[in-house]
Amino acid sequence: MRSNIRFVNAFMAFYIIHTSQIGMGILGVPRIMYLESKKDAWISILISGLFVSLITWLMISILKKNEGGTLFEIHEHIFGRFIGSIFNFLIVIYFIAVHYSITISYVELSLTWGYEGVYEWVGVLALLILTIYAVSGGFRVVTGVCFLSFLLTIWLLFVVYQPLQRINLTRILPIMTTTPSEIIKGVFKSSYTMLGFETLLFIFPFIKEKNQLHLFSQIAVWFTTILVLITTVVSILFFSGKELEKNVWPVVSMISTVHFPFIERFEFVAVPLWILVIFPNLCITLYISSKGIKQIFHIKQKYGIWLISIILFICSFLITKRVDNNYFFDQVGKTGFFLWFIYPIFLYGITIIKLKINTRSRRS
Amino acid sequence: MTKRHNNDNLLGYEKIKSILNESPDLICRKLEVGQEGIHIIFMKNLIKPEILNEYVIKYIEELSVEYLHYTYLMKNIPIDEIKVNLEEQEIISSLLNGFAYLYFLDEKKAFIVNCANPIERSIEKAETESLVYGPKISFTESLTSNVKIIRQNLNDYNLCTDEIKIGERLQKQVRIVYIKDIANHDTLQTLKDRIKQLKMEDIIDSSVLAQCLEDKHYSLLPQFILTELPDRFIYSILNGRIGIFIDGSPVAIIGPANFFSFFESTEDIYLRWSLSTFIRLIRLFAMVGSLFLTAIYVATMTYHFELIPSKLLIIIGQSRSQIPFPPLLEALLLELLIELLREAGARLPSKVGQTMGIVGGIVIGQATVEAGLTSNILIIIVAFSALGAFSAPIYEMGTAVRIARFPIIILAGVWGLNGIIVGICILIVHLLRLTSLNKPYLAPLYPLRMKDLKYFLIRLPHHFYMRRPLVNRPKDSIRLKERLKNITDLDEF
Repeated sequence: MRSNIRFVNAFMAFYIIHTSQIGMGILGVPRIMYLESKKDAWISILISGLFVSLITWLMISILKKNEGGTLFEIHEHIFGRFIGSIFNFLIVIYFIAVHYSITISYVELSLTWGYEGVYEWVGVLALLILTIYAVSGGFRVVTGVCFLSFLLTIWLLFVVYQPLQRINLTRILPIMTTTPSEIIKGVFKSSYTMLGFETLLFIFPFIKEKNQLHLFSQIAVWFTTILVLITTVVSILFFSGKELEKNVWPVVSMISTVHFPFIERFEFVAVPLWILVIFPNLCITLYISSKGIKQIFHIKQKYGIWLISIILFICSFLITKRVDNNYFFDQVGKTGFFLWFIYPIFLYGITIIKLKINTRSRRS
Repeated sequence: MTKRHNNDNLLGYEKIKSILNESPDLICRKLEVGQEGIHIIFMKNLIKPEILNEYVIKYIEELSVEYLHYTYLMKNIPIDEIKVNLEEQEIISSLLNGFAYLYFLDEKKAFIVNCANPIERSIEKAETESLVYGPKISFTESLTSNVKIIRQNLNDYNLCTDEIKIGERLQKQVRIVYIKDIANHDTLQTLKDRIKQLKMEDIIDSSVLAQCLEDKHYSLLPQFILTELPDRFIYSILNGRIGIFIDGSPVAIIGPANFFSFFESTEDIYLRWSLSTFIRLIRLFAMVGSLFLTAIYVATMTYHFELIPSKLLIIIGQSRSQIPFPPLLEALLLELLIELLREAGARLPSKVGQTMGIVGGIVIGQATVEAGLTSNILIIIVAFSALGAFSAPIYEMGTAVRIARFPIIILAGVWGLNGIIVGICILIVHLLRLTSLNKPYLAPLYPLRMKDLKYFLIRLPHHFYMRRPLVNRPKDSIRLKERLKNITDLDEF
């Protein structure tokens, strides 16, 4: 089995981790952050980034202590086949939920900007077919999608240049007007945007230069933090407080002020282009969840992909109201926070204990 | 023992005649020399009479009796190619290839000599691929002359031309051409295995062979480069690719190909670097434009009027005000017209072909606009995309782009810009999944090789190219070995 794995270069980890972090979250993050930590949202993001960076370091050590393998294998290794499978199943469900949340939030966005009246399941189906096609190509193709999507969309960052001319610097001043508890709440709320770095736990066996992986994943995590920071700060400077609280997607609204001589309303380009941004997210979540299904039930990954896709498609008929969706995203964000910000700390502890037991039993 | 073996397989005139279905071309010359005589059996139209008369018949008749036996003649007959110890099947196929069969009645032994008179045309200027600079010579239908051209231009003892025979009824000789110490061994083995495992019969031309050898048969994109230019062939071989000739086809196959190699022309090497880089980038942009421009027009006209600045919108509105069709139908109509024009132009004899230009220019260019069937702007866009598709140096790629345009236009008509982006995503995934001879198609962009990007996207001055591109995994990647001995660190190039 091992010989069939196609390796990718370590620097590809940068693209994988970065593109799986950036997605639908970044469009709405300025508002969510502003609701919690007001003008000092940027402090929350920096703290969050620092935290993510620490967790990344922890994840790398977990992976190294367990001699490679994905998290699914590590679970089976540590907890045994049965309990490990239960853990893996929960993770698979989490990733399916993430996939679903990305899909429906994009479809909702897309229907708001120019496609009123189209049924949601049409969009979901289109995205699903795309994702199935990509994921059945294997890990190499998923990595390629991450890489190319990064190349094709990173220029959107420079579009921020135009809103920059109309900012009001006083909106962010004075610094530290919020209480520490609000800032911590902001950190908690930023989790939905920052999540995605957990991909690291699942790509380890495919990386060629394993000792460079840590470096590139740190770069990726910090690059994401800086991107989120820039968008949040620019949004806070650009909108007045009340405007920001009312805008569900402040970044899109900000882009709508961008003009080019040949393009009048740029957000109608940016919203379709966002498919390219979320495409790696979809591919990676589907890939990881189908990989999990394969690990648990010992069936071919192909069947896992189809099974999950059918579940997702059936779920797409359940989309109802904005309020429900928001609640759902919140829950996914919370679960993600506990699963990937808190759980790795425990996993690290368990790994160390397990290792000590092992070495002791070997000695005796 | 050997004698009996020979006797078993020997054919007399009567037997050959019955196998060849009493062909009127089959002739048996019975020379009454020696004790019982010698039969010379051959096909009338396939041999060169001068050779047979001068070097076989005349030679035998002038020999004195003691030399008139199998062993002497076999060793001394003044003809370059003879075959002995033959199977029945081979005798017949050789006869049909223009060999003459010499049968010694008294000894019951036989051998065949080559008197073939193959039809060959002279080497001419390339027609489908044209260059401004560089050699103009092109391949011909004859395998031997094609190999001759390559050997003459590439005088290297490591140049291998391995022979594989394919087909049963329609036997074809395939030659795999590569340089032994450059070409990658695995790729070569994959190619050879694929040729040997071919299930298809009756492969007439190299383009058929190329399609049979493809990794993914359902892909729109070509996975081998087809060329009739020897200089392109040699350039590719020197860079570690593998070439294939097939008997009777003036087009050679080059593989493994990657996406960007379809946009490079050998002329890029001949022209100065600045111009070559510029042209190469223009080709890529033209391809992208050709794929998406009509689709963008359809999408904006159907769904996203807001995108267009108001001044431009007025102009477009005016030109579109009379048109009875929705944009999707309008665009498809015009695209199909252009395709029709191209196809008609290609099928017509070259003398009549010029009229097609006039018909197309006037009818499609002006009349449709004046009749209010299409807008001026769409005409410009469609013309641009037609031009863009033809700018690809390899014809196959142009056709692939032309076909790929239609689904994207339809997607744009159905879902607007979202549809176009969905199309782009499908295209990206398809390109990522595609391989050519098990080598990634999108290389060197993905898997990324920074050092190789300068070979495919741009062209720098020649002294930057001290290595062969690594995408083909050459065994020997350094170009100027002797002169570079002193330079330890090649990476600075």
